[in-house]
Amino acid sequence: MQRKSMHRRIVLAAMVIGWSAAVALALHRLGTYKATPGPATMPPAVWPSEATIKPAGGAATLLVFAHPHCPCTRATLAQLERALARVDGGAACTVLFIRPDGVEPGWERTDISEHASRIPGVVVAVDPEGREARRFNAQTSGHVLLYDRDGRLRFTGGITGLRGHEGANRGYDQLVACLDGQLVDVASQVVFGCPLFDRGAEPQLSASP
Amino acid sequence: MTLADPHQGKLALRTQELFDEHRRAIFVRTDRLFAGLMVLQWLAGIVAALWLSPRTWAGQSSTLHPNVPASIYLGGVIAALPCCLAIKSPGTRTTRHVIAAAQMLFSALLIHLTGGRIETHFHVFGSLAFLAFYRDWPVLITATIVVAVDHLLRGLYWPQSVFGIATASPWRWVEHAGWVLFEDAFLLRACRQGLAEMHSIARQRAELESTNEMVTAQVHERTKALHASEARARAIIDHAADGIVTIDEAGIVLAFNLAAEHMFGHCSGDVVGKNVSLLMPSPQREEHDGYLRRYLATGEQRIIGQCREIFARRSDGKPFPIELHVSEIATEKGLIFTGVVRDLTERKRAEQVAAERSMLAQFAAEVGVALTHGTDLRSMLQHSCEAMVKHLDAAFARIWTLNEETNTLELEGSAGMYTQIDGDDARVPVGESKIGLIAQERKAHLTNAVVSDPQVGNQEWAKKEGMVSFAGYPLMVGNRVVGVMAMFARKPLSELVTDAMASAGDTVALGIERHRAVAALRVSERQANAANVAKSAFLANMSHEIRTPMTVIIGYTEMLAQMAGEKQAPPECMETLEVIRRNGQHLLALINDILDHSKIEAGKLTMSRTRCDFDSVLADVQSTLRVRALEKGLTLSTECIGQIPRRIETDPARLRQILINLLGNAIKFTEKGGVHMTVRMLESDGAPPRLQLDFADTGMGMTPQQAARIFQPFVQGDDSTTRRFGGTGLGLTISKRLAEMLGGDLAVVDTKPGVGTRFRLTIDPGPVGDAEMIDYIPDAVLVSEPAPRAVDWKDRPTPLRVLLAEDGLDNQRLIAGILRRAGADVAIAENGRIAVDKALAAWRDGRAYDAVLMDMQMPEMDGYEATRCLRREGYARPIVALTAHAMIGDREKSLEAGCDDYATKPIDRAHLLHLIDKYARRDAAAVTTA
Repeated sequence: MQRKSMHRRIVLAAMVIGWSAAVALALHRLGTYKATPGPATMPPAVWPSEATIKPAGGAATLLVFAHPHCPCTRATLAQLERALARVDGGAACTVLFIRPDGVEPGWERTDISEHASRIPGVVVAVDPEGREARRFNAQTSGHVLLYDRDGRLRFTGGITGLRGHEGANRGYDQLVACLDGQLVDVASQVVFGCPLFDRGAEPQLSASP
Repeated sequence: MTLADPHQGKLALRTQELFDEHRRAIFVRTDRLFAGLMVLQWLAGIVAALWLSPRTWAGQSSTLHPNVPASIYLGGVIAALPCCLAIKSPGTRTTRHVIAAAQMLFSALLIHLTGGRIETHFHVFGSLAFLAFYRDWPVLITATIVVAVDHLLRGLYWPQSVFGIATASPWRWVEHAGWVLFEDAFLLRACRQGLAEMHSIARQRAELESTNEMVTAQVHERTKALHASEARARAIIDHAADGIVTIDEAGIVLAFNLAAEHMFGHCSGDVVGKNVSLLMPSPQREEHDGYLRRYLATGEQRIIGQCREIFARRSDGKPFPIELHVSEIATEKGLIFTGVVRDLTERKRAEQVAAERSMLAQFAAEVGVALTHGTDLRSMLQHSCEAMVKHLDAAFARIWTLNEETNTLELEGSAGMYTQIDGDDARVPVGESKIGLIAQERKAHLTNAVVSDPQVGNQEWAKKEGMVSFAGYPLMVGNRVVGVMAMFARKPLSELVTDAMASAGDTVALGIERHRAVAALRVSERQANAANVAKSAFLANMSHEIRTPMTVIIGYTEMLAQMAGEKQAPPECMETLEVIRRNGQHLLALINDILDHSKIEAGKLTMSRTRCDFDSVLADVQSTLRVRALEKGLTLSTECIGQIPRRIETDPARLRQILINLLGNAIKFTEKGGVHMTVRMLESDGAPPRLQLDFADTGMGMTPQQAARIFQPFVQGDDSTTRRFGGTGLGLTISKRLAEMLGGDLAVVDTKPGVGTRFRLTIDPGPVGDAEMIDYIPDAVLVSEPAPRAVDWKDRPTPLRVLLAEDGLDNQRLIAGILRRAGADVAIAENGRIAVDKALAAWRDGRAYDAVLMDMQMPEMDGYEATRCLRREGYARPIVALTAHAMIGDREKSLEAGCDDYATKPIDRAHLLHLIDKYARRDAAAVTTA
């Protein structure tokens, strides 16, 4: 009886340990996934002239490249909305949703794009085939760029701390500081989000942040 | 709890058991709740992942979002073990701690997936609250540790995944853990409170169980007792001497006890479930259901609650008498009826026997009465025959008596269908016919088959009359036949009847014998009575015949003495005359005493109690005996001690007789000194009053032996006494018997030879409540008194006229001589008739006699009748009875006849003259007054 009980206990302990390990591993994997940013790219330090989109005259221009189906982008939009609210009128913001070639019409119109269009002061635009993204060297959805009135790059990167995670983080803080004009140097952060382009179709990385 | 209180100890143990059981139940239940919750959370996570981030995109291509497999895999992994344990091993500590950890991991996952949204932290608090369902605070500790570790690790590596911001402080986890502990504190309190309540509930439940156990035990005990009671009742019913049958409203038998089985001959199984009417004979069998329906419909009772004697039916169909008592009991299923049945077969049989015995006893009694009260033999035997017909159901019965002289049986009694006693069978020679043979053989002849019995006479007649039985008995006294008794009956005679007849035969035989003996006795009695009458007559005649000559002898002796005295005869002559007189007196006293004694012994002496003057009786006796005392030179004194009634209720004549005897004896046996009489009244509470009279003399006294015999008849002090003093020796015997008849006694209380004797007489004075009381006796003390005046009528202006009715010539001469010597004019009547004629004639001529001396025994008309005749005619002058009947009672008889007074023969000259003078004077005074 005692042996049976002991055996049972051992089995039970083994099960608990195994279970704990499995859970810990799974959580770690999930955490790792969430904490893995997109590839670091370096956008043009000055507003590229070949860009179709034009900077706002006399004011800073905030560009957000987003994938209309990326769930992580919801957090970016929420963070953007929060930041714009804090710096009311500090920059002209445009959210560019890429539309790959060959997709069905309206592919780019999702709840995410709808959300973006409801943010005050935000202009939503479609980036056919991601040409503008390529011009600004953006590869991950949620990549935010801030150019000052002079067309100089002030901030590049994501404004979420993890994929799909809202909340205060360094990128957000830096963007807000930039919009407030508190930062002198160009700030850059990693971007957490879905890739804007198919695997193998990414633009050639021209520079590293 | 103490060891001395096992109940409390048991209660505590049970409380703990229940508490543990409850906790385990909560654990199991909560385990299962969480198992479900885990699965739900898992599914919810999957749904949320599919809903919020089903896919992840790269350009225009998309793949399954890692959140989806993460939710499936991670949620599954987290939920798997706790669910498994909750199913396989619910209620164990490991299970609930794993569940606690898993639930917190779900919280962690949720927080993680929502990017550390602060709202999702409420999942942690909610989960803790859910875990508090366990009411097991260590579970909260495990959960809290998991939360803390999660917050710590993720706060370090992915703070935004847990705190929502990437810029959180490294110690932010402490704050979160603190909040969790804060909640833990409340939950811990809630757990403890919950446990306390659980314990209280367990305690209450244990108490309830204990109470239930006690109640159950009591119920068990009561049930056992009830079962035992039912078993006893069942045993009682089964072993009851009476049959007990229970039926329902439809008459169906529900129960049938052993006694009923024996009684009815049915097994219980054959009867139970069937209609009770199978136990009844017709017509009750057909009527029972209708009766039952009518009773149920109308309540009309015929049997319920009553005891009835009816007939029941055995299994073989035979009816038998029973006593039935039915009672009803109302039950939930309706009325049931219980009948208690008692088999009366034996009782009825006994009653029949008793009735037969009673009848036979009546027969015997009637025969006995007939034999003892019958006036003649024929009526006695006739009544005996009638008793046989009446009580033995005889067709006819006859009794013959044996005439031994002719050796013939003579018919003396015949009752029933033949009552004549002078027919063919009136005289039956012994040895002829069945009756004569019975007498000859001295043997009873009994048959219950008359028609086939050749000895019993005319068989044709017997057949025609339907005779069945005959019984003939010789009537025997010892070895002697005195007659024959016989009867015919139209039914068989039982042994009881023949026995009774045999017994009656003996009685009748004795009756016949007794009757014959009585007849002989009556003859003897008649002869004895005749002898008695002759004896009485002889005594009466003897009395008269002796007294009459004695009267003459004594009278003439006195006359001679008087004449001798007058003529101064020589002293020898006087002495001779005195000897003759004294012996004559003695002889007379002897005769009187013998007659009185014989009457007392024969029980023919009766008392005549009347109210009378007690003092007069005493004074009279004194005056009577005073002379005798004076003659002997003795004193005669009386004394009254206290008060005595003047009048008492007694028989004065007998009292006087006793007093004269006692005082006379005292004087006779005293030579010097005197006699002293004291009278007193004895009264004590509760006892009737008594008069006590003591007679003390200074005489010769007696020895104790003499005193002991003194009241025996014919006994005196000694033989010499008789010789010296004379007397019969009957005086004291008679006095004692008389004293007893007067309600008292007579005894010697003191005597001493040479000193004296004291007699004590007590009598019953009767009621004296309102009597006049006196404390003296008239003339009580008379030491000396002049001699009474001699009566002499010679100086009367007209001679005193006396009519003497006396049949004896000697007495005529004697009495007439005495009267004439006293100066009276005497007329003689030889019998009562002449006396009446002479007296009435003189009275009517105005020359009425001054006195009539009436002898009471005379031929033709005796003195009683003559006196009654005179009084009837209105004759009011004095009549003095004169008789030789000196026996007690004669005085009263004379007075009743109308006489004024009474004088006995032989004549006491002085007394006689005194009496005549007294009444003559009284009458003269009455005439003068008139």
